[in-house]
Amino acid sequence: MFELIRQNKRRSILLALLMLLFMLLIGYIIGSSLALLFYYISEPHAFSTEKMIQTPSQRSAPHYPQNQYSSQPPQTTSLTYEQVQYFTWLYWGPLGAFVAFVVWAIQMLFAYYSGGNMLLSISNAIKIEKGDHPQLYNIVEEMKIASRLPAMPEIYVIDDASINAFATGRSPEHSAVAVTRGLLNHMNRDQIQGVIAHEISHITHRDTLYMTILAVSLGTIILLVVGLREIIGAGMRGSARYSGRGRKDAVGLILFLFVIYIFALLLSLIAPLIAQIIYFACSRQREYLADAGAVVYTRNPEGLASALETIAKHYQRQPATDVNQIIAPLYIVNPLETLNLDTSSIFSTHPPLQRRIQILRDIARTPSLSYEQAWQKAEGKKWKQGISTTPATSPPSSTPSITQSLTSTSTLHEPLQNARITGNAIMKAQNYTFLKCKCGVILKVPPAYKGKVICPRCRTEHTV
Amino acid sequence: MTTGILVAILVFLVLLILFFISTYNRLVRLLNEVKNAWAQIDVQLKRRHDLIPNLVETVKGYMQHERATLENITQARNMAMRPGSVSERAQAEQQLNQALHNFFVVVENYPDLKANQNFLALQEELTSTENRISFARQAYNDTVMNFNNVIQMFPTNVVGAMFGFKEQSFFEVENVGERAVPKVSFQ
Repeated sequence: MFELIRQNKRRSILLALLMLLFMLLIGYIIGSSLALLFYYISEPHAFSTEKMIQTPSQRSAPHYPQNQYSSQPPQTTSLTYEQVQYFTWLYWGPLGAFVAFVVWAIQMLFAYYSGGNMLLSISNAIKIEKGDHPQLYNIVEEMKIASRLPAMPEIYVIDDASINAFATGRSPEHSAVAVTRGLLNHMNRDQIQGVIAHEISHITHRDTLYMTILAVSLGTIILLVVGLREIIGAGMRGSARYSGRGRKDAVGLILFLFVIYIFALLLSLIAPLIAQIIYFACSRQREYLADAGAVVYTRNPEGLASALETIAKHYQRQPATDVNQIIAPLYIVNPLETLNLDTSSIFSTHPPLQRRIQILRDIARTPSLSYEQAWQKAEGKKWKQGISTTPATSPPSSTPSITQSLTSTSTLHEPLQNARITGNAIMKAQNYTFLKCKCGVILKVPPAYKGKVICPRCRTEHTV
Repeated sequence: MTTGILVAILVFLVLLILFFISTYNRLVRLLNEVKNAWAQIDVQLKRRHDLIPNLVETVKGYMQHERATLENITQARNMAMRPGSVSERAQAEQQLNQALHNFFVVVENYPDLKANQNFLALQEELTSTENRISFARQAYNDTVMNFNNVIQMFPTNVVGAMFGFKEQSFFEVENVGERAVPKVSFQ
């Protein structure tokens, strides 16, 4: 599990770089196609069949394109076809990529320094101290110890009846976790611990920073391609008027613009789509990783599993609606997706809840199972982080329902039987009481529990 | 030709030296993490010792008949706070564990106490402290694992051996009996 988390850190950096490169590529395409457009208007000679012979000295300085609306005859310093190519691909293209990078960097700086606070303030989160909620504070501090965070995260409570939690912060030194009032009301100590451990692993994996980089890249890509589409659209309308003033090559220009416009239109449709698919695939994978991290910190998969189960049951009753899809990856579950318990599409921010619960339960039953192995068992394929764009489908159902009963049946197939033997040994080591009911069911009661237990099969009452 | 070989050797040497420097620094960092994690366990044990007088003070009024249990706790706590060798202290902590465990069994007979807000708050603090101690131990073991991985794996083990880094030992249950599976009989 440790190796898994380490591997993923490397791959995440690679993926973020890939997204960034994709963004720069789009900047490059936009820069060069705009340049091509300007040259087409200002240097029509370069595109005509008869090429002018130029002196090489004119290559030295970049030539700023003429105003596209100017009706002046072409300048005497017009460029050759080769020069246009040269400036387009080696000067204007990289400039476009550079502008894209600057836009990205400005947004990134802003998001890096104020994104977390903004998120906390739009969700009306209130910062708490130890005195306000000692148990929550203790749980967070316990997880801080387990995860060896360098600083205590700030703790926020959101006065909301829904069950959710998120973590934010640009680095492990400046981090915050927020939980809703509903979560505190509906969950016991172990469950809250599981949720907090999940959030703390988002912090130690630097997921906020990572997802911010991806989100900003995604935003910049959308901004760029929409911008391109608008500019070209305006250019087309402009040149339509311009053609009325009697330029002979106006038809060619409009045709040329039309081709670029179609290209921009396609790009503006496809690029955000690809970027989003990468973004959501990353998000889902980071959720699995945070679950794995929670198991490493608490060594108690059951806590998080039952917490997720509580959430699933809660949202089946009252689905939430007011969640932004871009910030949704920060939450422990995406409230918009909680209705799909066992499927997820390529546009899901979170893996299906039932799958997450199943993986955690598998680890709880067989402690030797790593998160990776449990995941492979549940997904039926090899673990690979990153661009696994195939949407998850219903798992081979080894757990028919999310609720697990205390009963044992003798008709289990072998691996499950072995798992039960190991599980029983662990429970015995933890001083669980084993009660044998007359109907054959063995009840396993936690050591701290006192009182009556009702057999789930024959309804007999037992006293512990 | 010879200059080419010379440059290649030089580049190789520089890379080798860089590798040695970075590995050495990494080992120092990891070892410090191990030490820090070990110190954290003591911090949490101290926290438990500080809580106990409060606990005894709060419950004294309710538990007139359980003087022996309370005295046991105080005694075990004072033993654990005394400076001594690691194994002595571990044994004292073990006794304190046992005394606290007995105390919480007895508490079940005092419904008034279980309704007392002060006591509930203290109980939460004690639960949290127990968790903190085990999480601190777990975190210590994680740092030891990280350190030992580097020490034992090739090629970093060469650097480790050169500068005399030693493998660190895991925190394990002192009382081996505690790890054994208890016998459960079904009646």
